Amino acid sequence: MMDDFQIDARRWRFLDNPARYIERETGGLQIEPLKRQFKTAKELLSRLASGRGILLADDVGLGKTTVSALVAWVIALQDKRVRIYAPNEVLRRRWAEELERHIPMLAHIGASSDCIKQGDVGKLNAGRIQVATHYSLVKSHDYGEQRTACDLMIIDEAHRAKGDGSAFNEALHNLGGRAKRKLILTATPFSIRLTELEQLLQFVGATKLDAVRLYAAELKRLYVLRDGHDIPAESKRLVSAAREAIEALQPYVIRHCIEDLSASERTHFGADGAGRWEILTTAATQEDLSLLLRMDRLLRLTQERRGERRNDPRFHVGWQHLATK
Amino acid sequence: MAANYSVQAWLDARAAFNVVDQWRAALGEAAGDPVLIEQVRLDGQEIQSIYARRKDPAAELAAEELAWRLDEDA
Repeated sequence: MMDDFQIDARRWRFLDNPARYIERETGGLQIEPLKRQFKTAKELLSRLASGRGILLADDVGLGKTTVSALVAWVIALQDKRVRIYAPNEVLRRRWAEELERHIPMLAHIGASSDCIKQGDVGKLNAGRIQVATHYSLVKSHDYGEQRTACDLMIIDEAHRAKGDGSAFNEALHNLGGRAKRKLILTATPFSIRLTELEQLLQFVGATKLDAVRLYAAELKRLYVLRDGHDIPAESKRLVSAAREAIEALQPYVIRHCIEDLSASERTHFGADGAGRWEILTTAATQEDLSLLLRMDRLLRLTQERRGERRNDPRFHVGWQHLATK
Repeated sequence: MAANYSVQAWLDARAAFNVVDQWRAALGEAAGDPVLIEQVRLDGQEIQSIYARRKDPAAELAAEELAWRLDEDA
């Protein structure tokens, strides 16, 4: 895509050297998450430069704010306008703090606290980063204000925009076009409905989502398979649908889970992050089993009386409970 | 290979209750014929005592239901 969003890759060379970066800082940054965060920031910048919007969907705690603050600085310091929308006042201040934390390390390329503008959405000069809330974006939309133009729009906790009817979603939909690039952040890109993810992806510019829908349909199909289905064939179909969905998502999504981290970084998340979760279950006693069988019988007899069976107790009971000796 | 998520205790119980259901059907068909009803009732008692001797939960429940049906229906 050709537009006037030109950024100079030489300006983010410092991201190649996280060790040197933290030499100059005093705010408690650590090399371990920072190496990965710098790598993510570089990837984001090059995708933004190539004309794409991105959904950054890293797990909670992996530093989406740090990564995005770095991206915001690199963009703003090239005489661009960046607007960040946080979900509330507390997080708005947290964003401002995160931006300020990087000033000592980025001062040599022009970062200073004058570049950070807090408060309501308003006119923004080149080289500045505005930190506002979702609410102020909605308010600005209600007033019919047009002062939302920018080079990069960062939406934190973007999943709050899900649901077609919300005022925030409407404001985003109508004002999003005034941003040349969009970066949206959420650890939960969708909860139950796939359309939530579709909405976010469309917001960052994705258009071809058929493979994603197809994969969702294939997953749903697993619920209606009958006894005797061909497991290898079904698995193969699912895997190939998943591959295609990932391929379609990849240009627009960056996501790291705790499981994806290097062993050394994972130790930051404590012992729990290292192994699988064991959920201990005890086997059913004879009494439990007898009760469950009674329920099953009752439901079968109910079917005779009412013509329709509405429930199957097996699916409400942890499967291991039914392991009998 | 077909997926099989069944639980043995369930299969046993379904099989045992199936016998109970067959017996109920036979009882239904014998309606109006006192000789036949008596025969079905004796069959029922026999089946009930077989299940009652077994110690698994499925058989116990089938024996319990059959005993109740012998009292109520037959």
